[in-house]
This record gives sequence, structure tokens and C-alpha cells, in this order.
Amino acid sequence: MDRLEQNNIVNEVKNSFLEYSMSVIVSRALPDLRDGLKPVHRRILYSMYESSYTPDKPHKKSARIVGDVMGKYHPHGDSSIYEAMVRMAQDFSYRYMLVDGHGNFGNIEGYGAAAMRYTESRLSKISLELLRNINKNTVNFIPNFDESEKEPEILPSRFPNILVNGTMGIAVGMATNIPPHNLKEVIDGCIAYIDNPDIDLDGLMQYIKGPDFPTGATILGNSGIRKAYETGRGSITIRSKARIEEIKGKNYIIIDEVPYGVNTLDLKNKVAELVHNKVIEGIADYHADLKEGIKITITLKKDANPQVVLNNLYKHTEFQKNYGIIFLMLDQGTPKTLGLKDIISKYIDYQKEIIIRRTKFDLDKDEKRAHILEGLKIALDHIDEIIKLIKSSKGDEEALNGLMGNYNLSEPQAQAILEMKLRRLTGLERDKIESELANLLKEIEELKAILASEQRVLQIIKEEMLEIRNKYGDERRTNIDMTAIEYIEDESLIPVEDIIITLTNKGYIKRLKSDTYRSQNRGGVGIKGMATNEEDFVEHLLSTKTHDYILFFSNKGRVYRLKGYEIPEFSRQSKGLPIINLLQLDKDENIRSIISVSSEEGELKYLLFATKLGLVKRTDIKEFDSIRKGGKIAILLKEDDELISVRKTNGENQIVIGASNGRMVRFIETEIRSMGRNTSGVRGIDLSSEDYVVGSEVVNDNQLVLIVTQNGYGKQTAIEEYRLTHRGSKGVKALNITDKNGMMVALKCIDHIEDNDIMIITDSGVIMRMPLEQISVLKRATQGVRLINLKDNQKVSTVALVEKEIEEHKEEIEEKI
Amino acid sequence: MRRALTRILNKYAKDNNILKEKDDALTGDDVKEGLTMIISAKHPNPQFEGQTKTKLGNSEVRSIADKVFSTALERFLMENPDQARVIIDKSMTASRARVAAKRARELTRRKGDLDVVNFYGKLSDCKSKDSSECEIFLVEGDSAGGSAIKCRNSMTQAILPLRGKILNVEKARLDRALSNEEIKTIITAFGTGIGEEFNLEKLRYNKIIIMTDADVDGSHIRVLLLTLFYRFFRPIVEAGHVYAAQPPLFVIKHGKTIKYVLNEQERDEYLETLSPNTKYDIMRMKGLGEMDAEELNETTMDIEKRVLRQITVEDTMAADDTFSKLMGEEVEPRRTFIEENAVYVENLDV
Repeated sequence: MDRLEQNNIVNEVKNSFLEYSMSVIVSRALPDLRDGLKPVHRRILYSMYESSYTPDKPHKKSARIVGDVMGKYHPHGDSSIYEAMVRMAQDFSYRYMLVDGHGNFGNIEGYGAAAMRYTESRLSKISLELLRNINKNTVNFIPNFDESEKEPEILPSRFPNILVNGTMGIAVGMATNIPPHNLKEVIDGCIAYIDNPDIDLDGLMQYIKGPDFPTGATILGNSGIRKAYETGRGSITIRSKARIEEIKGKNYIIIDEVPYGVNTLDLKNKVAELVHNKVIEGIADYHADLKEGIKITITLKKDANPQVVLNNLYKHTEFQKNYGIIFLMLDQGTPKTLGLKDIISKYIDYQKEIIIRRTKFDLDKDEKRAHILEGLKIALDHIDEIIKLIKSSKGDEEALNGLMGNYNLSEPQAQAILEMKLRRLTGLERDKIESELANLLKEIEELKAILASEQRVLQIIKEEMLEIRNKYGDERRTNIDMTAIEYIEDESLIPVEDIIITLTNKGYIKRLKSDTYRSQNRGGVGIKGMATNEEDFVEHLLSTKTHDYILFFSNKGRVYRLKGYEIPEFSRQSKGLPIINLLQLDKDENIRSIISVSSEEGELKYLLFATKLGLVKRTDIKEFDSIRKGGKIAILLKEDDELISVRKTNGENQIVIGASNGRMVRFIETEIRSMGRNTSGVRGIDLSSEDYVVGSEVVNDNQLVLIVTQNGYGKQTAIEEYRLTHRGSKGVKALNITDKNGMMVALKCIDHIEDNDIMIITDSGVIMRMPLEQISVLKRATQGVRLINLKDNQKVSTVALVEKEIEEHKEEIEEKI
Repeated sequence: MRRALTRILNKYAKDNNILKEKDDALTGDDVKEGLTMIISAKHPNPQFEGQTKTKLGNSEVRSIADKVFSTALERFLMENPDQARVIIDKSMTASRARVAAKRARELTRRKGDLDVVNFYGKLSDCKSKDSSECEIFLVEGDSAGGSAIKCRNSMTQAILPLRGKILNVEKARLDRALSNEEIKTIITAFGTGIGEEFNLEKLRYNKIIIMTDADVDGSHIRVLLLTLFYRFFRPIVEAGHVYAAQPPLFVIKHGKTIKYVLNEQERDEYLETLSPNTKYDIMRMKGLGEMDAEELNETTMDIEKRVLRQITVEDTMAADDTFSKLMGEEVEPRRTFIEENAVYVENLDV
């Protein structure tokens, strides 16, 4: 029967998981700091080198290379080996290709390479610099998986490949994403570090400006680069290189460089999808040509704004892309996230080791050779006796021992003498040996000097790197735009348009195109056909622009801000959206005033606040320049106070404030000094404790003041009848309050009575609409006329002015629908 | 009324991008779960269906109720986005649970053995129907599956080759896990069903044996399978039905002899038995596919000769914690675990 062992599931899973994850981390997915290669890449390059598939020889079938790599060093799937090799041969994947491919190696449209039985490969020239000196005992060799071969633990990597070509990889619990860099810049940076190991990051960045992708394009700003270089992690934004061209009246967007790693076929599909879903409008055609680099031509419709379309493309597609840099790599076998300077300093340390090991190797070889030459020299000095000795010897052994015993030679020397050719005996050859020995001795001295001086070692590293720099260096392809703004403001995606914002009494908001209404009313805006829920009506109506700010002031004294375009556009027939979906309002918070702030409006520079308890405040409109999503305090209110209204003023306006007790003050706004946002204001009208403010308006000459009372009475009075007084006074009588008409509930200022209707809303929700013309114009101290018959103890709760409906346009509107 | 509720909630969810294009619409059952509704209607001429007057027969009431209700509901959703979100989320949870339950039911509904063979072609079942003597080998990859099928005792040993890495069920949502071919096959093969319908009695095999390569990818597949078992078939694991096969780790060749040994200790013991002059080669085994069918049987599958590792559960809390930490959505705990335990790692694939 079975031999059984037992293992707890926790141990089983933990151990197995650890084996797997650590293996992936240290020997699969992450590159080594020193040569920037993952094992699969290293094995491919070494195997190709070992089989001499070098640039001076013809290409070899890829299948043969993959087979070699798999059989000798990399016991994994053939496809992963081939894919790794293909990438090394793609000019859009590697900044400096390590493999020179022949045949179809795929393209940036996302098409893969041809099968490995078709394609051919060999090492690229620059690859040889990764392998250079590998046979001079510069690196350790370890047994392969079946111990039948030896493979290098690391490549000498005579240029900092980790930065130059970068890499990406996903391990377990961690991932790496190292962008490629420009060879010249990186080597210059390394040299600057050698010259001054105390150089700081800014110093290094004088040389290494940032990533340099094989696909070019533009990196926006360098703060992300700097952060990545400093901490090992950072995010950059790469934007395509695009230009707008006008040919024969038609606009085209031409894109000839796309962000690194972007598949242009996916791009095309994405654009098609966006056009189909109407996310981006104005695109008529899309054409990609890959013949000479990339050339994507996007034909625009006639009415499209090219810059807006381009910005939309940046925002919604990978024509602009974020790239998260993670400098995660293996340092001494453990994964580490390192900054630029650490990487360079560790790389240079590694190169020192390479040079020292190489020098020792050369020294050893030279010393051995010198030793032999010295033996030969001795032999030539005593050549006749030696020949005799050899002739008289019975065998090898005897000759060897004789030489060693008689002339104090070492075994290798004696051996070399025995193997010497007779032609060495000529006089010329003698001189040669002597001069070779002299040279060797000089060289040995030189090598010893190198080993004795770190400066000499560094000098060699510098010289050899410069050589590589001059041989393979090229110009930077990726542009770094220091002035660019990374974030595309929604603004730039939306054309400037005139719009109407409506907000109903119940808080439904919407945006309309203002030309929908132009035909209806002279200069003004009608609201006919504006659908609302029952018992609701449009209370606020604002004519503004898509790019203007709209300030929303709530009864709680808070202010919120939206841009015109942020308010969803609806058709005239729809009700709109409850404003709570746009602003973070509290439960019992509602909007009292909406004001649009345009950058063009120079003359209106103050906001005037009036509160229920009679306070007023005047604040510079600039104080409202930055308002967060959650809103900000616009005016500090006492606990039982609330904001009644907010109006724009020009700094010289006259203000009226009306109170429930039928009194009204009229004064010039300069009586209130301008105050900051987070203040509560000054007294505007002097009220007793039971009275409260019902309205506050900016008035002009020739206006009428409309007053409505609790019991449904109302009247209009010319503004001139109210004497100019001062803020904080009790004001003048605006109304005769009797048992019949009741307290004052509303005050409005009216320009042209023929333009407006009045909406009267009762506390039980009944709404009545009437034209202003029907309300009598009366003297100041009168009680008004009955406007509405109220039953069952109903009271008027509020009054709103609305644009007059113009009946004769009704049909016209319906036709438009 | 139910139709209106469903329609409006679907519309709201789609408009607000909570429900994506490709998602299935919510059904009436999803939205009405746990809901009680009262409709008060006054009708001049009410007609009821049946004596008990349980149902109003007037068809016009339906469209009126529909209209009134949908208008009001739509308005409510718009004016109360927070509550709307909660309602939709609840409905979507119900929807997901419904889909998952349905899939699970379908999988366990096996008609006859022929169906299984045809539909789940990968499974080479055993002849015996006596579950106490049957065992199933879950084999990594087709290359080893072939030799396992060839050398098995077809009376009692079933073979199910798995292709590559199976889905990590700790990260995938239930409905996605259940639409995965490999997992579907496993569920059907076991016969127990899952979730509420799970029945240990119906388990068709006494031993479930995970047979993966002796390399790190094999370890990974073993972890993935154990995750699946622990999450979907925990009683099977707890009852000790799950085993790991132990393929040999080394092969020692000398002269014409080829000797497979399980571990370092066995290797050393064997080497001592050889005379000092024997020249031998030792190779670390990498995959099951390196052995031919006969060798595989001899070393790993033959009941008389193999060594099995039984997977036991001692502490359910610790097990639960291990799976959620190592296989779950969050990266940080996993990373911490790796960092803390890196020094204990035994087998590294270099």
C-alpha cells in the first residue's frame, strides 16, 4: 500500500508559494542591476555568442538559436525564449537592439514575428559590448541545469544596459518597469559620477535628462522623472508627436510618434470606438501608414476645432499615456528599488570588479609567458650543452629532469624548451625573444600599477565607456517638454459656447444651448416648453458660457462652484438633474442664488450677501477664485441665521433690503467695506428679534420695487419713493401692514414689467402665475391689492420672477421639436 | 409594478455606468429580493381573480400603477444618488449570486457517464464505480498526462490533465471562476457539487492526487489547486482526501542502471551502497515528462511503490488566513510575507 507522509495545508501552501515566488523574483522576472538582463535574455545572448552567431557572420535560423538556448541553459517553453529574442530585435521595443534580426520580427501595429522557423538572427554589434571580456575570467561561471554546461552568472556589460535598454517584468508581489535611456547621456552621467562621486541628483540630471524611448514622442514635464530618479518610483506622461495641418481648407492631425509600448492597431480601434460612441466628435477619417516610421493621418470634419479634437485624443486614447517608472532590480540577488545615483554607483563598482579581474587575468597570462621566455632565454644561452643533454637522454622524462636539475628551470620552462623549434636558434629569433620579454615585463609592470591604483581602474572604465559612447551613441529621440501641462484641462476639450443654465425651485438643474431660444424673445430668454415636475418651475435662469464659472450659494452660507460645461446638457423638454448629483449638499441645504463669473466681466467685482437676520457683507469676487468640490464658506452665519441672497455689484451700486415688518433700507454699497470670505458681515438693517429679511436687491433708477405679503397682497412702487438712508438703519416704511395683508414675504426689483411674470408659491405648495402688468403700481405706504385668494389659512411662502411666456411662439417651438 | 421596478433600476444603472455594457441586465428576481410592496388603488369597478380575491383583475390598473410608480421611482433615484447606489449595488449582488448558483447547478447535473466523457473530454475516468477505491490524478500539462494515462491502472485511477496554470479562485469572482473550463471539469469530475448543494457523500474518488512537476511552476500549480479545493471543496480537504504525488527528485545513472530517488537523503543513502569505483551521473529531475510511462508508474503512481503526501487541515483560521494573504487581491501582505520568509526558501529554480 501507499507510503504516506502528511503535511499541513498551511505549510504546504506557504512553502510551495515561497518556492515559486522567490524563483520568479530572483531568477525569472527581474533584471540584474549589473547587466540589466533577465536570465532568459542573458542565456540567449551568451548562447549566441558561444555559437558565434556574431555580426561578422551570416544570420542563423532563429529556431536553431532557441533550441540551443533551451537545451543548454534554459529548460522552459520555447515560445518564451523566442518572444524574448524577438523583442531584443524590435526597433520599437529596444532603444539599442541586442539582436540583429532578419525577416518579419513584427511591427508596432501589434503583429507578432513570423514563426521561428522562418526568421533568422545574430548578435547585434552593441551586444558584443555586453559580452566583451567574458573570456578573461571577469565573471563567474556556474553549472547549467543538468550540469553538463557552464553558463555565466552575469555578463560583463561594458555599458550600463540596465538604464540604456530598460526592461519590464511582473514578478509575484512586485513588478519592475525601467524605461530605456540615451546611451550618450547615461555614459556621460556615469563619467560625471566617476569624476565626482559626490555629485548630486541635479548634477546627474544635467547629463541624464530622462528616459529616451525608441518610439520617440514627448515626455511632459520632468517632476515625475526627478521623483523616479530620486526614489526609484515615479510616473511620467508621454504624449504623441502631433501636428495640425491645413490642406485645401481641410484640417488634418498628423501623428508621427506615439508613446512607448502603444500598439497602433489598438489605438485605431479605440479611436473608432470613441467616434462611434460620440465621445469624440469631428473625426472624418483615420489612416495609418507604417512605411517610414509611423504616420497616422486623422482627417477632420469641416466644423471641428482641431485643437479640441487633438486634446480629446490625448485624453481618451493612448496617444497620451502614463508610464509608471519602477526601478526595481536585483542587487546582490535581492530585489531592490533604487534611485538613479545608487544604480550608477553600483554599476561603476561592478565595472571596477570587471577591470580588476580582467587585469589580473592578463597579468597572470603575461607572467606565465614571461616565465617561459626567461626559460627560453636561459636555454639559448646554453644551447649547445642543452642539445647535448637532450640527445643523451633516453626519454622525455630524463630530458625534462635533466633540464630542470641542471639549469634551475621550472617544469613549464623545461617543457617549453623541449618543444622549441629549431628555427628559434637563429640570431633573429633570439632578438625577438628578448624584445618580447622586455615588452612583457613592461606590460606586467603596467598591469601591476593598475591593480595598485583605483584611479587607474576608473580611468580605464572611463576610456572604454567613452569608446562605446562614440561608437554607438546617437541623438535623443524623446523630447522632454518642460513647459507642458500634464493634465489636459477638460476646458480644452470643449468648445466655448453660449449656454443657459436653469435651476428649478425644487433643485433640478440643466444646461441648454442658448441658440435654442434665440428665436423666441427679443434679446431675452423664454421658458415656454421648459418641462419640470409638477409643482415645480424654473426659478433661476442664467445666461453664461461653457467655460465660465458658476457659483452656487446655499442657505447655509456655503458656496459651490461648477464650470458651465460641468452641468449636464439636456433637451428643452427634459427636467434636468437634481443638483444634489453635482454638488455635495447637506440634506436641508438648498441653493439660494446662482451667479456666473466670467473672466471677461471686468466691472462686476463684488458680491453682496444679505442674511435673514439683517446682516450684509460685501466681498471681492476674487475671493472665490478657488473653491474645492466640497464647497467653501461664503459667509459665516450665526446658528439661526440663513443666507437670503447674493448679488453681483459693480462697486457703486445701490442696495435695497426689505424686511418682514414692511420696512426697507436703500443705501449705497460703499457703506459696507469689503471683507474676506470667512467673515460674517455688518448690520444692513436694524430689526427687532421677531423680524427678518425677506429680500435684498441691487437697484437702478427707474426701477419698480415689487412687494408681496403673507396673505397674498402685493404692489409695485417706484424706487424713487424710497429715500436713500444708511446701512444699519431701521429703514423707511415700504408697506402698510394690516390684519388683512399680513407680513411682507418678498421683495423684488423690476426693470420692465412687460418682460416678467410672477410666481406666487404658498406654504402648501400651490403655485400661481400672473403677469406683472396686472399688479398695480401704488404709493409707498399702502397695503397693496389682492393677488391671490388663499383658502384654509394658507400663507404665501415665496415669490419668484420668471421670464414671460410668449404664446405666439409656441407653434414655432413645436415645429422645431 | 415589478416590471417597472426592474426597468427603471436597469435604466438608472446603465445611465450612470454602474452596470456596464457587457453586463447582463438585472432581472425582476434580483431587484425584488427582500422587498415588500403595498399598492393602494381605488377602483369604481374592481374585478378579482378567484374567490379569495387575491388578485385584482382589472388590467388598466396595471398600466396606471406602472406609470405612477416609475415616474416617482425615477425621480427618487435622481434626487437621492446615495440611496440609489445602495439599491443598485444590492441588486447586483443578488444578480451575481443568482448567476453563480445557476452555473454551479448546471455543472453537477450529470446525466450519464457517456455525457461526461464526451463533454469533458480531458478526463480519462476509471472503470470502477466504487468511490472508496477510485483515485483521480490532476496532472500538470498534456506532456505528462499522456504517460500517466498510458501507465495508470485504468480500473481505479482516473487522469485529468490540466493545461498550464489554473485560475486563481481567490482573486476571481465566483461567476468567472465557474465559467473557467478547467474548473468546470474539476467540479463535474468530483461529483460533489459546490456551495449550498455540496455533498461529500457524492465524492467520486477517495483520493484526489495532485501530480505536478518537481519544479517551481509545479509548486505554483499545486498552490493554485489547493486554493481551489480549499475554497470550493473544503470538506474534501478537511476529510483528508487530497494528496500530493511525490515524483522523484533525482535520477542516478551508473552503468546501465537508472535509479530514481525521492530526496537528498535517499540519494545519499543509495550512493553509499555503490562501490567507490562506480562512475555515476546525478541529475535533478525537472518535469514528469522526463520519465517514460513505465518509470512514471514505478516511481509516482503505482500504489505499491509510490509515496503520497496527504494534505491535512489542522487550523482552519490559519489556513483561511494563508490563502487570503498569499493568493488574495491585495499585494502588500504578499510582499511582506515574501520579504519575511525569503531566507527560509528551500528549492530555488535558477
